[in-house]
Amino acid sequence: MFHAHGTKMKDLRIRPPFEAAEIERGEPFEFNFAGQPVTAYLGETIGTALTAAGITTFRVTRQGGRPRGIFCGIGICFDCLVVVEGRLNQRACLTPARPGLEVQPQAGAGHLEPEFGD
Amino acid sequence: MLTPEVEIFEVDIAIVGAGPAGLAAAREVSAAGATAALLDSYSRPGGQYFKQPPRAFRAKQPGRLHHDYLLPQTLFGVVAESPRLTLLTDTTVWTAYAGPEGFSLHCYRPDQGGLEVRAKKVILAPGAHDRALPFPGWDLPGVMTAGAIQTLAKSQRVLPGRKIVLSGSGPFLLPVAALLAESGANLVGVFEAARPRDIFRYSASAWAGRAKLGEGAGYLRVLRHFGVPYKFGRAVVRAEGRERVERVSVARLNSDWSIVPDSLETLEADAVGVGYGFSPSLDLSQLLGCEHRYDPVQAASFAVHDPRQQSTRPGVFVAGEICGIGGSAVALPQGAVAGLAAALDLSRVPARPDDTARLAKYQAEARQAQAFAGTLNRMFALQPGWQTWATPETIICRCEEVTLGRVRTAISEFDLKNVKAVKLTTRCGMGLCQGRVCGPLVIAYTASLTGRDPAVIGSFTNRPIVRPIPLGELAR
Repeated sequence: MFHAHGTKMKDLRIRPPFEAAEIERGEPFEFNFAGQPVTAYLGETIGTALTAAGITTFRVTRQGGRPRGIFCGIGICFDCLVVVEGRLNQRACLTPARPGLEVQPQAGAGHLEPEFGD
Repeated sequence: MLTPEVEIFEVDIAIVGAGPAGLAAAREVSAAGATAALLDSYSRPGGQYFKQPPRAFRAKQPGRLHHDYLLPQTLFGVVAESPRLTLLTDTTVWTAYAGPEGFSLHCYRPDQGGLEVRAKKVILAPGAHDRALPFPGWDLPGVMTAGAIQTLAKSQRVLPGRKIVLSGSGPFLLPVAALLAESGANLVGVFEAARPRDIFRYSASAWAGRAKLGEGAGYLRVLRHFGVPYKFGRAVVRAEGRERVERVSVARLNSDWSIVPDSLETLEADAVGVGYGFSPSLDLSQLLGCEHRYDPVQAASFAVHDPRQQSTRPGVFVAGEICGIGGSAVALPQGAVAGLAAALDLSRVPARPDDTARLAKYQAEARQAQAFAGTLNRMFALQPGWQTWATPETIICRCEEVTLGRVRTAISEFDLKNVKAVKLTTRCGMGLCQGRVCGPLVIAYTASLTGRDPAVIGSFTNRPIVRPIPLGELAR
């Protein structure tokens, strides 16, 4: 569920000749999502790197166990929640990807912690 | 670790939102000689409209990032260089109140201490977010707002999928579609719910916006060049797939947006962008006690204001989308009016000889842009037939997983009369998004199921904590 569909294909990043602004990304690095390495570039959010890799399910819901991923993309809807280095309720669409980060899909509300998001 | 300190920052004017309206307001405040803090939740200024790629991306052709690239750059420059302006990014206002000396805005900054901004005047320019309408499968991964797709492609430079469909209503679909087409995406189709005969009823009053119409025509040329179908009177009304969207059903719509029987066409797609206009961010204006008015054309409430952009709450000015959806053409002059008027209301700011003329010029610009925005809003107004797309099993409140069937049953079983009662009975709007996504939907369903006017059935409204924050923040 948390893996890419149709893996062996090239990623979804916009690249020349379609990159009109001629954006240059820095060096790529990897972080972990659900135990698999995911490539990212500095400046990308976790959500972007997962999207580029073809991964669309970031978590499952509390009641129905429904898959969810990016919906609003701007931090409003809280659908894309992941667990980052043990911190619950982090929005993948806003949280920057960093080398070596441990990111887990969030199951439901996550497990009970004394501190939400901290 | 919690640090129990809260930093206090005092300024003349607090501006919430660093999009077009907030940036224009800041420019005027600074020019008038007053100080302002410009607060924004995101890590770079610009809001959604002037959204910038991350700092780590170097653009060799930055002029290609935005069709009007110099305007935001000029505004960013003013903010960066003015000694009277302080830009605070990654700063989310989570509550605000009025005291005897002015206003207090409490801000959450991830990984930093708390911040309280104290100001004599407040300018609210918080903008808006996409409005999505529900249909079976709209909560499958891969279905997202048109704005999410724009953010991914424009700012993060990634495509949302390999076979993309856009569906919605209003001119915003066009720049998103053109961006995707030019970025090498396989854009299967763009479906505009409104029908030409319903749109062009209003064409006579569209002359005022001929510059914007020219921009729209440019996007249509791009779509034609790349062979992307752009079809009127159609909408995605179903998405299906295991774990993610794999295909959608596109229906032909009647003029009330109900589905024409036997008109469904199936398309393969792994990404679907949905956008039916925008919902204004009213949380802070509601919290500060500003009056709002329901606009039936836009099917949303907006902050009431006078010609100087002052809300019904003295000292609180409002600009941009929370006054009515109008895009940057309205937001820029409204922000300028709010900034200038708020600064002039400060006792220590001396009047300049051209203040009156400047104010009048910005007001005239805002009025003209609003006239065209009003025409667009009528052309692409939601039609009530969208309420027939969802089935009883369709989730309406995505956070709390409340179905349409549950909302219907609750309203009839308990004879509910308003939105607040529906929220308390069904949990609609009680989740982390605080009703920002389902709010307009629950208002519409409640109105039609009770037969009452949406203007009188209320909204979710009035939370003392307007954004989700860590509990520890309250302990500071």
